[in-house]
Parts: sequence; C-alpha cells; structure tokens
Amino acid sequence: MNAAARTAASAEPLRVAVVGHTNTGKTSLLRTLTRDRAFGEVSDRPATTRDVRGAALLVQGQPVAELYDTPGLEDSISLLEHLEQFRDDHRTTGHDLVARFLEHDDARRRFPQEAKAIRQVMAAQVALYVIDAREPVLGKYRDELAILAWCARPVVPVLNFVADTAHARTAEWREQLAKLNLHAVAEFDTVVLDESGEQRLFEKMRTLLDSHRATLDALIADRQRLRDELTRSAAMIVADLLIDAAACVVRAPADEPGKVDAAMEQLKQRVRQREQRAVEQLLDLFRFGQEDYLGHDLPLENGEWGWDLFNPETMKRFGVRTGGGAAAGAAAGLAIDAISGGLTLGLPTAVGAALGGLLGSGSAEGRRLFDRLRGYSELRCNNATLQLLTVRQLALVRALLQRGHASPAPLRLDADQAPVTARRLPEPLQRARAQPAWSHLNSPAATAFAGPPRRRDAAVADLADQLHHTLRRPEA
Amino acid sequence: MTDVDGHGETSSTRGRVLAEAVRAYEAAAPGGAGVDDRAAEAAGRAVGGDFERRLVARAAALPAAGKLSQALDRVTRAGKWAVVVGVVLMAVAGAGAARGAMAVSVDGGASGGGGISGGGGQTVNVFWALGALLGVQTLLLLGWLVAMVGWPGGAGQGSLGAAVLGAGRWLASRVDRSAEQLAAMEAVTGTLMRSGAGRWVFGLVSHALWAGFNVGCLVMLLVLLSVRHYTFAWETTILSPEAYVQLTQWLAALPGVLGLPAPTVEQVVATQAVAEAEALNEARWAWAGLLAGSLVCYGLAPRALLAVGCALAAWRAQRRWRLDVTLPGYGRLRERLMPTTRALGVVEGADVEGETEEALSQERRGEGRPVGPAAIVAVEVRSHEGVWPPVVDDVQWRDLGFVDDREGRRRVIEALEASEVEPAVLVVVCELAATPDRGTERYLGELRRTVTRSPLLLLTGGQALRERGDTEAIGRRLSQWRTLAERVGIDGDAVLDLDLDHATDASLRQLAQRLPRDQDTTTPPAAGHTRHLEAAFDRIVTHARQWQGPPDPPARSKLHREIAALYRSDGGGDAKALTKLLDVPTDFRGDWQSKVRNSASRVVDMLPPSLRLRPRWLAAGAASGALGCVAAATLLSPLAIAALPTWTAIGAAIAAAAQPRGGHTVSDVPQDADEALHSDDYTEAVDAAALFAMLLQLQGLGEATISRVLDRVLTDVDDTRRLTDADAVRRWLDELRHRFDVAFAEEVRA
Repeated sequence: MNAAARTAASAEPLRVAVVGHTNTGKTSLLRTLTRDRAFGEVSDRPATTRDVRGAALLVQGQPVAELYDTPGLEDSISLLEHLEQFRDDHRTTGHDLVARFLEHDDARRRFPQEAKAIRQVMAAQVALYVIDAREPVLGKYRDELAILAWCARPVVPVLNFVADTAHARTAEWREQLAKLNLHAVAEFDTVVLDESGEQRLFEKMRTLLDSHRATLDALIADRQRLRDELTRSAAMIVADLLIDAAACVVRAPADEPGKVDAAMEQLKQRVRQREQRAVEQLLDLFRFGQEDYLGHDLPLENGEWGWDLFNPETMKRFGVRTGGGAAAGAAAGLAIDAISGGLTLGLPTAVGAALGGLLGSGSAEGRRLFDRLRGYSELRCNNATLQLLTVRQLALVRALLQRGHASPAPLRLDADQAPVTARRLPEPLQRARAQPAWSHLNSPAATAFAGPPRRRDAAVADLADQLHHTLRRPEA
Repeated sequence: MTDVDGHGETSSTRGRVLAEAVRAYEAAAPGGAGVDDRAAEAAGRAVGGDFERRLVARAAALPAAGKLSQALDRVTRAGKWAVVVGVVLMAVAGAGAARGAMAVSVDGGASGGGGISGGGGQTVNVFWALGALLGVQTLLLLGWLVAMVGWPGGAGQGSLGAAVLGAGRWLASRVDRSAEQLAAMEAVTGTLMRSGAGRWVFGLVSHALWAGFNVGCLVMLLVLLSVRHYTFAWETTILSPEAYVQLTQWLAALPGVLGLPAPTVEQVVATQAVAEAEALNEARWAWAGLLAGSLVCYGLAPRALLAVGCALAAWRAQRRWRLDVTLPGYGRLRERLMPTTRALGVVEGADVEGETEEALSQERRGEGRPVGPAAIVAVEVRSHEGVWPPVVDDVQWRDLGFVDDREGRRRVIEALEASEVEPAVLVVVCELAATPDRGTERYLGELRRTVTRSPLLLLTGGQALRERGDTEAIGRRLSQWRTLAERVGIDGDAVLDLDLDHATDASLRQLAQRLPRDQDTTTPPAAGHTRHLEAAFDRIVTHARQWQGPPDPPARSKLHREIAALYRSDGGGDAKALTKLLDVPTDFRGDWQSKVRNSASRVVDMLPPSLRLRPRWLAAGAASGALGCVAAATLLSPLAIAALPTWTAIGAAIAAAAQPRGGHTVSDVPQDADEALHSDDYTEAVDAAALFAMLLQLQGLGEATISRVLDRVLTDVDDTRRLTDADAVRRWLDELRHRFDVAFAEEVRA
C-alpha cells in the first residue's frame, strides 16, 4: 500500500518553482531550459512577467518535471515587515507567517506578485532562485532568501549572467549564499548556453531531491542524448552541403571566354544558394527563427552572406589560407581545368578518355578527360572555398549550440569562433571531387545513370562523423 | 525495390519507405526547408511511441502522402513489370540457348538449325551441350557468390538484377517526371541501399531471371527431345575416356537422387564413337535424362533456392531497417513530434494593473522647517569607489550614507524626519543599471515624503552599463527610472544620469547647477565654500598685535575689509553673496547712514534671540554689520570709498541699530556714535570681527541656520571676559573656532 503510494508519487512530475528578484532572468531560464523562444515575455523592464506560467519537461513524451515561472519579487523588505505582523507569539514559525500571509486577502492585494511567487514555492518540491550575479548581495536579496527559507522548500540558487565575467560577482554571491547555508549553487547563463551548465543545474537539484533522483537522472541522460543527436544532425547538414559543393561541376566551352564567365557565375550562384539552404536547415534544426539572424549586421543579407563566399577578404576573415597566389587571384574560389583540347594529352590517353566518356558514368575521370578532349572547361570550387564553407558552417553550428533561447540579441558569427581545421581537405571531400553524380547541384542529366548513390551516403556519413567529432571537442 | 514489397513487406516498412519518400520530396522542394504541417505533426505526436514511429505517422498524415504513396506503388509496379519482362526475355533466351546447344553436332560446328538431318536424326555432343547450357550461368553464379562473400558491404550494383531494376527505374522516370515520382524512386533506392536489403533484392532478381532462363532452357530441351531424334556422343582429343566416365558419374549423382536415369559406365564408353552411339538406344534415353537432370539440378534448382534465400535475407534486412533519425530532414522534426517540453499555459493570471498601487500619501512631514544643508543618500548603490560624499563646488553635504537593507532604510527616514532642518535639497543616489523595482519605488516615495521640495535623483554607475556596450539599454533604464520618479513625485527634470565614479568637472558642474543656490527660493547648499575661518581669525590676531590700545574705526574697518576680501577671493559669486547677506547697497549715492544702519540691523536680526538680549553681542552684531557693509561696499566699488560717510555717522548708525527692540531694556548698549565705536579694550572690536567672519563662513545657509549656529556657538560664552592683549585674543579665537566647529558639526548631523 505504502509502496504503491510511493510509486504513484514518484510518477508525478517534479514541481519546480522559478523565483527571484524582478528582471533577473527567470523567464529566460525557462526559455533556455525548454528551448522555447516563445515562452513568456522577456525584456529588461521590471515586472515583465505578471502571471504564473508553466512548462513541463518531457522525456520520451512523458512529463518528468514541471517548471513554473513566477512574477519577480520586488518589495521583499516591505513584505518581510508585513509578514512579521502575523507573528503572535514566539512559537510562531516563519512557515506559519507565510501560510497566514497567503490566506490573507489584504496582503495579496498589497503584494500580488510576491504572493503568486510564494504560493508556487509552497506548491513546489524545489525552488530555483534566479540571481543576477552582476548585482551585489543587497539587503533586499537577503530578505528574499529569508522569506524563501520560511517556505521550507529546498532552494537552488541559480547564478545568471555569469558569462559577463567583467561584472559578475560570482564569488561574492557564493560566499553569501554559503553563509545562508545554500551550498548547492548552480551557475547557468541563460544567454550563453553552456553545454554542461544545464546538466549541472539538474545535478544540483538532484543533490537536494533524493526522492526524484531517478527522474532527474533520466532527464539528464535524455538531454545529453538529444544534444548529441542534435550535433550529429547539424554535422549531417554541413556534410551534405560540403559534398554537394565539392562535387559540383559546371562545364563550359573552353574557347568562349564569355561562356566560361557565365558558367563561373552560375557555379558561384549555385553554391551560394546551397549554403543559404544549409543555414536555413540549421536554424530550423535548432528551432531558431528568421528573426534570430535577420538583424541588420548579420551574416545573411537578403539571402546571401554579408561576407560573400567567393570574396578573398572573407577567406582572410575566417582564417582560411588561399594557398598559391594564382588561385586566389582572378578567379577567387574557383578552380578551373583550363587544359582543353586533346593535343596536350597524347593520343593513347585521348582514346582511352574517349572510351571512358562514351561509356558514360563508369568513369568520372574518363568523362573529364573526354570533356577536355572536346574542348570543354570544368569549373569547380577550389579547396580554399570548401575550407571556408567548412569553417563558417562549423562556426555557425557552434554559435547555435551555445545560444540560449532567451538571447534577445541577433545571432552574430564570430570569425574567431571558427574551429581551426586542418589545412588538408577532409578525405571524403577529396573523394567527392571526382564524383559529379554526388552533387545535387549538378544538372540531373549528369546524375541520371549514376545509380543508387550509396557511396555518397557513406561519404556524407564519414564527413559528418569527422565534423561531429570537431564540434564535440571543446574549443581551445 | 518493388520486390521488397513483394517479399515480406511489413506495414511498418512500407510506412518507413513513405517517410523516406516524404523526406526526399521535402528536400527537393524549392528551398528544401521542409513542410510545417501542424495537423500532420499533431497526428505524429498523437501516435506516441518513439521518434521513428512518430515520423512515420507524420509522413502518412501529410497531404502529399497520398500522391507519394501512389508514386511508390507505381515504382513498385514498374519494378515488378521490369522483372516479369526480364524473366520472360530470359526464358526466351534460355529457349534459344537450348536450341543452339542441341544444334551443335559432334562433327563440329552448327548443323542446319531446325532441319532434320539425313540419317537417324542429329548427333549431339553431349558435354558440349551441357557446357553451353550450364557453363556461363554457373560461372556467373560463382562470381556472385564470390562477390557476396568477399565484399560483404557491396551493393551488388553490377549484377543483372541491378541492371534490370535500373532499367525499370529509368523507364519509370521516362514515363513520369513529377516531383512525387522522383521522390518515390529516391526513397526506394535509398531504402534499398541504407537497409542493406539492396544486395539481396538484386540477388533475388538475378536469380529469378536465371531461373527463368533455366525454365526456358528446360522447356525447349524437352520439346526438342520430344520431337526430334538425337544421338548423343562425345569426343576428345587429349583427355582420356576415364575422365569423361568420372565426370558423368559426378554429374549424374544429383539427378540420380531424384530418380532420373543416367548412363552407365559402359554406355559412356560406348558413346565415344558416334557409330556405336547410334546403336545404343537405352544410352540415348539415359543421356537425355542426364542433360535434363543436370539442367534442373545445376541450373534451375540453385537459382530457385538462392532466390528464396535472397528473398528471406531481403525481408530480414527490411525488417531490421530503421530510419536514420539524424538525417537533416528528420532532425528538424524531433522537437515538433517528440517535444522535450510542453507548455502548461497560464496557471495564475496577472492582476489588473494598478490594483497594487497604494494611494501615495501627499502629506509631507515636517513642513515649514528651516532649510539646512543639502543631504545626500545612496540607495542600493553597488560600489562607490570615489570620495563620499562627492566633492561638489561649495557644497557642504549632510551625509546620510549608504542604504541597502531594512535597518538602513529606517535609519535614514527617521533621521530626515527628526531633523530640525529640512535639507536644501535631498540628493538620492541610485544605481542606473539596477532595475527600478517596486521596493525601491516605495522607499523613494517614503524619502520623498520627508521633504517638501522634490529630491534630486542621481543615477550613478552608467559607465558600467556603457561598458556592457548596450547604449540602448541605458536609454531604456533611464526612462524606467524617470517613470518611477514621476510616480513617487520627483520632478522629471530632477533625474540626473551622472556616474560619480567617473565624474568629470563638466558633469560635476552640471550637478552643482542642479543644486539650488538662490537663497530666496531654496537656500544653496553652500556653507561648504572653502573654509577661511582660520585665516580670518589669524588676520584678527595679526591686527590685534599691531593695535596700541583699542582700535579706532578706520583700523576696525580695515580688518573687516580684509576678512571680507578673504571670502571674496574664492569664486566670483561670493561678493554678491556678501552684499546679499549684509544688504549692501549697490547704489552708493544718497543716504549712506541709513544704508549702513540697515546692514547693521540686518546682522542684529540674524542674531539668535538670546544674543540679542545681551548688549555686548548686540553691539558686536551692529558693528560687524555696519563695518561689513562699509568693507563690502569699498571692496565692490572705489566709488563707495569716496562716498563714505564720516565715522561719526557710522557710529550713529551702529548705535541706532543696537537699540533693543520690542521694548526690552538692555543696559550697556552704545547710546551714541562715540560710544558705539570706542571701547576700553580689544573685546568689542575682536568680537565684531569674529562675528563678521563667522557670518561670512555661514553665508548661504539661510538666516535661520545661521541664527541657530550662532546660538550654539555663543550661547554660554562668558560676557564678562576682557581681551586686553593679542595673546588673549588668540586664546579666545581658538576657543571660538572650536565652538564654531562643534556647533556646525551638530547642525550638519541634525
């Protein structure tokens, strides 16, 4: 009987009240924990949140925790004085005072926000007390903590804005909180999403809530798995883009310069659009909307990167070496097989090439030689461009991984954030070079007889593995 | 592709293929961003279970699912038809092959095709025929086995099956190039590749085709054997007959199990010679049996068995196959189909705005109090690094300190309420970066009620906010503070953004300008102008040392002039303050005597009532007022010197001013001009000069304050003391200065 009751109790989701002074980022914390940009309203005004809103954290579709966002505590000093009025003798406990306050109508009118917050704390199993770590430990905060202590619920102080190291007074807060016997303090910046910050927050809650240990363990494990899967999905998107770009080839008659230029423009345009698409896919994957990056000085402008992919300056900005000067010069970002005509190739090769070309998809190399033989130039992205694409996309993924859903500022791509990649092109991309059939950017005619692109899948998977590995590695 | 469905398709596999088709379809759509169909997503969530299950359910619920499903059916049908056509063609080919094989005579070369040969029918090289029918396909079969074993990851792309299915795919793409069709084909091929079923399906098709070939062969063989008369023989040039005997026995072993006839050793040996072979009728029957039996056992049966095996393997691979949910098209759907959070909505609604507002009491406490120095208090200021209170020109602060907690708040309110004087202006310093909350608002409201005039709200720490780089935030914060100020009754223009830690001369001047300096409206927070009291008293002592006996009026006037000059020298505004204090005329023509008397009366008026009852102070006050007036006037304009009245006239003015008012009788006041300016010792001259100096030190604090300070300084002074020499003057002035400091400090504290 008893055991059954306990089982039922543990099946109940853990109830968490998020409280704190006004404008410390309670709603932001919920946004980030729920990955929901649309949760509540966030601004730097005081008392932005005036109602109590809830969100459940699900694991495999089952709610395991319910978080309640409360209006900010604003006048704890007066409230504490007010609470003292309810004291009738020395046996009255703080808990009694709070209970009496909640019963009292008049008090609720005077302290409507505080009453809501306190009611949620009393209804919850644990309270997260959100702190703007840039603030000093003022008397009003001490009074808030005193009132919370009277609620007789475990409290996990959450230090927000700790990423602002120049102004955050993390040590000061920790010291003060320790004096109040609050030792399980979590640091969790709602704007800069620290991969492990969330996990540590749950772990702190776990230390105080032994009865919900299994629940929180499941939550931690699930969130870790999801994040890994998310990173993997992002790596797949980037790998897909890179293979498409690496295998993209445009042919143009070699002896007509105008057509070569047009083809070059065509290639650039295709790759640009492909990158744009990858960016959209990434934003979609991370549940960020257009408004997150369409700010004025964002990388994307009218569907194009502000820093054009084929601009040598962009390469420099993202630290990509362009190698030989010639390649970086006139046709920046493009490699041209300028050899045309069969004369330079020698007759036997030419015959073999012709055969290869006639045999169709059998040999991409043969096709290339055949094209040369017929006086065609092949245009494709050069290594530097592919590297730039890699670096830039990884920087974007990293920025997205670290972006809290509460961040009000538009997304900014920091070139310094770009991971340092090896000078060498990843091996799967080299494989893709010789496989026009692998690129979705090439005209369907080129891929019609390619058959099932099993090897492309393998190359994308290989490349995604490598990128995934890079992304998981902590930044130097 | 198709056969997949034919051989053990489960509904979930079909669902997954549809999901793949949807993914391909969405990826190929312009923009490739995928479709956001809420109804379908809801269906996906409703089905529950793991993410894949939800993906499948979502795909099935999409509007495009119908068309894609049809397209998948078409692809399936096309594949099936391709296989059927392939099998038929292979059967025909098999029939042809059988006919060709049976047309090869022992004499070498092909005989006349279908024509019946002259003799007793045709002679067939039995081993040649076997080789023709089984050789190539057996070699291919071995190749297939080698490929399957040696290259486990291979897709079997080069196989006949792949070719046939590729042809079917190609055909289908010729027939229908709609987006749905292309997506369906990509899904099917993709499924085959990713699930690993592809190689088995290709194998299955290959084996089915070869089985068809064998059936065609067998049928044709039986027809030929039925309608023709063949003589079987074999030949060799280099091999021994034993080898053929052995070979025959091996070949016959398997058909023998099935009960098919096989040539005996004698029959084999006998068949070597065509002539003999023709004679052996039983051998003919046995050889035909071996031929057909080999075709069944070594051609048809392995292919059929392998086809079944491949079908099983394909079915198993399909069953094991799961969607790769990290593929870009699926990852984006995770949160939609399998949300990690669910909004619980508003649990407790917001209150009606304004309900919380308490009626702000307009009652001001301590109305009508005299004005004291400006007061300054810091409310919840994070850190103040510079000097506290801030050094502002001429401002002597009443420092109320830093307020952070409940006790501090109460202390300051009580101090302000209990004070005898009202601060000329109450400067409340707050942190600009802090969020103005209701607690702060309430407290500022309380502070506001302790004073009658609007406090000055000084917002410090803006620099830190600027360092955070968000200038917009500063603007927003400032307007929030303004709103708060307005609500608690602080004037809008009394809100100042000034970082005290990063104050510049300009910003401090800005602050100084905001602090009222006009005595008539709000007394300037002055009294903080540079302290010259020591210098003034030193000057008095210096003069006293030079005096030979009691000083005469010109000497006293000179001393006053020097003291006035001290206070005038710092800052241009003080001369004006001086003239205001003593009501010094700016027009030096006319009745000088009444003007001097006016100034003398003014100082007397400023004396506290208790001093006015004491003749010595009455006289000293009148003298200091009159001499101060003269000093100020001569400082201000050389014209005044020329217009100065006689000392007698001044003495008369002093005597007139020193007359007690209100009917009080005071003895020992100067009754005439002579008496007023002459005395027995230094006492009166020093007292007047010291009073003058103290007045100047206190100027700007308002008359009430000056009066109060003077009262504290002089209230218990011994009026009988006599100053007869410079040393006594020195001692007295030291005491006076000490008294002044104590009194002033008390006043500031109050």
